[in-house]
Amino acid sequence: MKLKYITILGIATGMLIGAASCKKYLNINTDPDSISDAPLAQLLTSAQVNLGFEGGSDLFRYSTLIAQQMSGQASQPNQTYEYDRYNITGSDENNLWGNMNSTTLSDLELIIKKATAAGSPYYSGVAKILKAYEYQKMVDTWGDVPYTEAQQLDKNTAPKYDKGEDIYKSITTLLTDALTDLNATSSNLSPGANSVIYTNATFSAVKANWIKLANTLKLRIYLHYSKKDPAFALAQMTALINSAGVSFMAANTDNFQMPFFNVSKQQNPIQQFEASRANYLFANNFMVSLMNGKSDPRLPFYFTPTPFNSSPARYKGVKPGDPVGNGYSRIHTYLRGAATGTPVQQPDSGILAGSYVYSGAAPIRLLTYAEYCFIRAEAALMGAPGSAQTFYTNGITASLQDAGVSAANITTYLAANGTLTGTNAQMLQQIIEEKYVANFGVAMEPWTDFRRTGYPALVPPSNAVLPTVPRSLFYPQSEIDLNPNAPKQKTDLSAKVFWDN
Amino acid sequence: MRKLSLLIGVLFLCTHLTAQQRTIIGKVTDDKGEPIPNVSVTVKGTSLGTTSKQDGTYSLSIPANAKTIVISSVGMETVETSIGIKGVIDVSLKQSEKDLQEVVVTALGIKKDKKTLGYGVSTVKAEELTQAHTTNVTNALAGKIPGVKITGSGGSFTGSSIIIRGFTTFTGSNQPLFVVDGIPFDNGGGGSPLQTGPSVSNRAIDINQEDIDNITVLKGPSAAALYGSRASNGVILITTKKGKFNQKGTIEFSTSYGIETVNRLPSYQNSYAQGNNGTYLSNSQTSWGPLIAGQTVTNAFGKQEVLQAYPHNVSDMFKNGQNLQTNLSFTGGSDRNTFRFSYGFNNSTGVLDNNRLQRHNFGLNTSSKITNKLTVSVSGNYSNNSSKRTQQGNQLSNPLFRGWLTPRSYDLTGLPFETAAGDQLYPLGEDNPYWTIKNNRYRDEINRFFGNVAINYRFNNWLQFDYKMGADVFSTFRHAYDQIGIRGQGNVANTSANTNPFTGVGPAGSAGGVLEVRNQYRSLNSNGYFTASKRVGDFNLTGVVGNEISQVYNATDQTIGYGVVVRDFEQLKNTTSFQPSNGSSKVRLIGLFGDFTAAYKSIASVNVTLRNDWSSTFKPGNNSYLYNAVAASINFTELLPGLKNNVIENIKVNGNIATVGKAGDFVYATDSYYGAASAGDGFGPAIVFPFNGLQGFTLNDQAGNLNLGPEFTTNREIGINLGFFKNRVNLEATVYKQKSKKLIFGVPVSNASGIGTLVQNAGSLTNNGVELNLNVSPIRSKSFSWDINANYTKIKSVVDQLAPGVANIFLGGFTTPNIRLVQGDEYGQIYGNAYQRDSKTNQLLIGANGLPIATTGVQKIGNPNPKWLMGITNTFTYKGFSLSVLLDIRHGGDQYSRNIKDIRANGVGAETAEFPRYNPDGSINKPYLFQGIYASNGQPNTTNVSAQDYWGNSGKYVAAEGFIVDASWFRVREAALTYRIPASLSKKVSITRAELSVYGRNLYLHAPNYPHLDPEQNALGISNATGLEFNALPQTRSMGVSIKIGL
Repeated sequence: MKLKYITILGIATGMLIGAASCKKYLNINTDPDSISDAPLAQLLTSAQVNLGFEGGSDLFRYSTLIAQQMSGQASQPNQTYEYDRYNITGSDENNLWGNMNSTTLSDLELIIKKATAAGSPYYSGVAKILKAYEYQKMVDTWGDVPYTEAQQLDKNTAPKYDKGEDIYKSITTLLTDALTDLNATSSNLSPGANSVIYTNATFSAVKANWIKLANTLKLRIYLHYSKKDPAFALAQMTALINSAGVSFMAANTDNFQMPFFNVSKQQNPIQQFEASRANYLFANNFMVSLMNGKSDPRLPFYFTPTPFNSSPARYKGVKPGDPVGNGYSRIHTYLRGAATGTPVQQPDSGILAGSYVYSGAAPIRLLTYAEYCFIRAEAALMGAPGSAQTFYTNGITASLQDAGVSAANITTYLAANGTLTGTNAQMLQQIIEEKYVANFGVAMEPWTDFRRTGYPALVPPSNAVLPTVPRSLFYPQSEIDLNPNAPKQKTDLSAKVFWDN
Repeated sequence: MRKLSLLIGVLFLCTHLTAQQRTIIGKVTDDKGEPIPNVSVTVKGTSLGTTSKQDGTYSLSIPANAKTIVISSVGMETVETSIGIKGVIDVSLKQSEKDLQEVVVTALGIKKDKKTLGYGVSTVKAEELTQAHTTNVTNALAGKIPGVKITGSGGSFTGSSIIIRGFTTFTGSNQPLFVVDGIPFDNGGGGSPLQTGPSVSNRAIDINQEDIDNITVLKGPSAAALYGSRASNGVILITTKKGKFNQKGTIEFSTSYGIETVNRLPSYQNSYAQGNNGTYLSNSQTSWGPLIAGQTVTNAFGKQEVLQAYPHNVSDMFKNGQNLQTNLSFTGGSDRNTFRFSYGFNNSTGVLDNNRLQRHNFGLNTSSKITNKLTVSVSGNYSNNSSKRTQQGNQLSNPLFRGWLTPRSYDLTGLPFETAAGDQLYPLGEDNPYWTIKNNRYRDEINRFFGNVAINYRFNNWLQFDYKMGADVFSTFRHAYDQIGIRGQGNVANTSANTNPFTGVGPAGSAGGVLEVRNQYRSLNSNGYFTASKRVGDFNLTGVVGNEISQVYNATDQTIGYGVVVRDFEQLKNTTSFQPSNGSSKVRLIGLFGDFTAAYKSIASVNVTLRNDWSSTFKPGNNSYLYNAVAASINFTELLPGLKNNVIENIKVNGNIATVGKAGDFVYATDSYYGAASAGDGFGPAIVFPFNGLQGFTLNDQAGNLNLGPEFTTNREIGINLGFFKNRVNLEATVYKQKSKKLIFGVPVSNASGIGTLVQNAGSLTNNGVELNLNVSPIRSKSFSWDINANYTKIKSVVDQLAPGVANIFLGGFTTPNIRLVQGDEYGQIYGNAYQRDSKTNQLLIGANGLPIATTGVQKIGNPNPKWLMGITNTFTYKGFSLSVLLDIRHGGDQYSRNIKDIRANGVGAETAEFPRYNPDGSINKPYLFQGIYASNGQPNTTNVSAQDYWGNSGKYVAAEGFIVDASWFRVREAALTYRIPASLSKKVSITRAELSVYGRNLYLHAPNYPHLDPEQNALGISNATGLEFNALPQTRSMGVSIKIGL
């Protein structure tokens, strides 16, 4: 009998001891498959790839459709069809907003903090430039966005919104900081082969590229003031151009662009979209007509002829009211990479995919030397140092070279279209229209230039849900739902960003 | 041993004679001669008494003047015997007719008297589970239990969701805990990805129903509190069949064979051809072409053909599915050992080719009395489950994504679907249904072991100790192959183009890929507890104190290979780039629990449960949490026997207040981590790292939270049980209010903070419910009986609060439509864009073209939660025959049906041709008018529109609101007619039983507001988000025969 109770007591005691030692037993709450900190190098790779990807993703599609470079048409309404008629809702932008903020900017902010703490100014310098670039796009897209309270992670989950104008000011300062960082004499750690943009194992070999980018980006930002405050824009640009030791992009090899590769899931997002969403994007009649009118030699690189085997090659874009079908030009090698195979013509003028395949190894262009030239041409027109004509010629040449146009054809094209003539306004139109073609594939800028200058003269399509060309996008629905500090949602897409007033 | 006790008994007898007392001894057995422990033996009119031991023996000291002893046990008829001068009184107890259903199994397998139970439990017996021979045990529960909602997701062996008493959490699982023979059993899986891959089954499908003796459903926290942390969603308590002591050995063999067909097919028009606006187009998706009148056209293959309709071009895709189940078992027992061995085989094919499920189940149960005090039992089950499945969801590789709307004049059956080289022949943009079924493949295999070793030690007649160590271990292998030239997302969603020379018709598709996933699941559970049970006077006191330790380990290794090089070589090494990913998690839980019950006769009882859990998913300081349950009951007819009369038999009222703490499904959520980088948008394009040989890491979007703690669900419940006419009519009614608080979920925050979600204890929700269960036996004669069981379920789950500043969260779906949780509204509402309406009159605003206009923003457009559910089972028995019919009724609940829209908007549904589409002069007929006012001037709309415009994407389906359909149904869920040969005959041929039955499932469906298809569908499979349907596999009807023979 006693033995039983001893047994019971024993088991009970055992349980209690078991309970007491449970502390150790329960201490397994660490994810074995993730790391609690990441090195600068891998954070930078992540941030750059995302930033480059964004350049060919949602923002590219919104802006290239709004700028009427591309068009969406379909028998079953799809997203590009809706975007084309300005039916871009706040919910459509949730993903984009999430990627820009929670991936790209969040990683960049961590790099800046960690690099500063670790005495690695070359990392913080690069990250600051990329951050400035990202915020410039965000302001141009939405207007006011969170900046000063942003990226504080769980410390502040409802960051307040800053005025677009204040953010512009901050990012020019940030670019100056970045230059200071890059000009530091040493850095414990430096971006090397892990930097997918301006890749080089030795940072000193590409440091100059980053510096040129920072200065060129500053010019782009100042130019954006041209409508709101032309004097300020001119003064800032002039000061920058005249400042000692400043360097800007000087050749296509300086282009700020992200390379992609002919490997599944490493192809550029434009090609991936085209391959998986056939018949979502067609050339827009507006851009094709503009280029047809000048017999632009970039046409065979930008767009497919339709029919493909037409001779001489015919290029045709979609205009509102055109019948639904495949008999229109589409994006070609300039944005989708080199093509291989023998094109097979389909009865409806389309090309049989599979017989003709793009590599997807075209870069996503983010800020090019050609754009720099057009910025300088416009600045010169406003009174900044330099010759508008020279920069105009250089811009066209750079763009044609980048597209792969032969030297002879460049000469021909320049002879016909390379001279600025007429009033300042006419010359501005010439510059912007050339810039518009040159910036094909660059997200946002063609739309921004239109908003700033009114060129090229876009007219809303007849089936548009808004009677005017959009001036900004709705705030993402996720912000309206989740950030109590978000402004009231815009009534429509005619709300203007600060430099558009 | 027995002789010894007899001897002792005699010695005592001698001793006590002198003290005017004597001792009687005896043994209590049941009608089969098996000993019954825990039987109360008392001297009538006194408080003297004892209980029988494990071997049924008792010894009781009685005064000399004692005349009668009363022998009683729960569920048995009470026997009174005069003592006389007898010294040995053996008693045989019969099972009480009246009390037969009154003993219920509760948590930890503790049997309790239903008369004094303070909370609701429901039991389903083996016959009821297996009568319709479903493949998945969860389906077999549908319509049988009040308070339980079972929802299939379409198809033959896909996932079925079980929700007991509504939802208790937001983004974590709301599925109940499965417990098989006392050990937790994983019922994960069953989700359906929206854009890639097939729909798979929940893992309860690994259980062989033929091995189940009964299922008890513990509904509220009160019943389930002993199971602790994982029990707040209720518990499905499965008890498997076992051998019994002294049982004659039997061999049982059963087999069933059934045919499955599509339950409901759309009704199509067969008058108009492929094309648009009356013109034939050979590559058009739609059937808005010309009237079919024998004209000749050039088809997509460049051939001349005489236009005709192919009425069966869709239905020909579907085959008869088959379901074969065979079971063999050996059962028996000696006086010290029992055993049961079983083997089950299940082979099912789906209604589409290349869809198959095959399952082998081996089960072995033994128990041995090592000594009279110590019993050891071992139970082991092995199952091997393999399946092949077809692509599902909102993607072009789902054969039914557009297969349902195949142009009426396209000869899908007769035209070839591939070239000799294997390239697709299909002029439309999606995968040819036959091509994708054949070429885009998915298979999986699950090897699973579950079982336990259990020890029962009886210290004495009132105290025993039970210990169980159990394991549930399985490995899953999933393999998927996307053929070169696949046009849809398929299994791997490759976005790089097919670079092979293409000889087919239509788009050449992508480069395909291979997916391999290996999953290891290992759950170990240790459970030990003391049970003390003592009778003190008229009080029956029971106490349980115990400890549970569990560990669940789960690991997944997945590799995707992109770009297939050689056709049909389904190996990763046959691809050109790879994306590996893996992850694992380990969760531990320690629980201490106590359960104390005091029952006064059969009149009243009070039950208190306490449990403290320690969970590894929280930081020390937050990881210990105590909760409790109190339940009480009072039986008025026992208290005041005068209440009983010819009408009233039983009046019982019970109530409880119970809280259960829950660790939730968030593992490693107390800290923030960096994960592998990737890039992507919502359209498919994505970058997979390593990128150009470089690896990237990024801070995870989900931020951890040091202060995370448990969720709590509190239930308040009142039940009444009324019996009339000798319990021929029995009604149980339960009303409850269940509140869940501190719900853990990844609270979405502004992305501008740099994170996307912050895991928090935020949010609360309330379930209000009513459950009714009515049993009526209108006829019960010797040869004929008729029993009716009707159960009614009404649940309303309301989201009280999400998180501060968060008005709604996204549960699943698309930009529009999607399923959201919205503060203050019912759980999981359907959101999408709507028709623009006049703000004052609520009339539709109509454009100048006569068509409605959509809102740009999204709003609530439907509520997928049914208003109530009802299941009615009628069982008739006549001699050896029995007929059982289960009616399943669902009232209310909306569904967004993409399929119905597609059938209409593409001009294939019969209603799209209800009026001639063209006038005799060839002009377009415009018979439709949208009721509404012009947006421009507010005048009534008078612009008639054509069928194409009316049913089209710019007409009725311009807004998600137009897709909403009421999914109410009335269906004959199950029916079975069984003949059991009489015992007299079976004895002659020396068999113990023989049964023959014909059965059917989903035999009849009436869905008054749901055209074309069976509404039992869910695009998201087992998910908290319901109400979306996206061209899924159709629901099936099955009919078959089965035979069961016992030797």
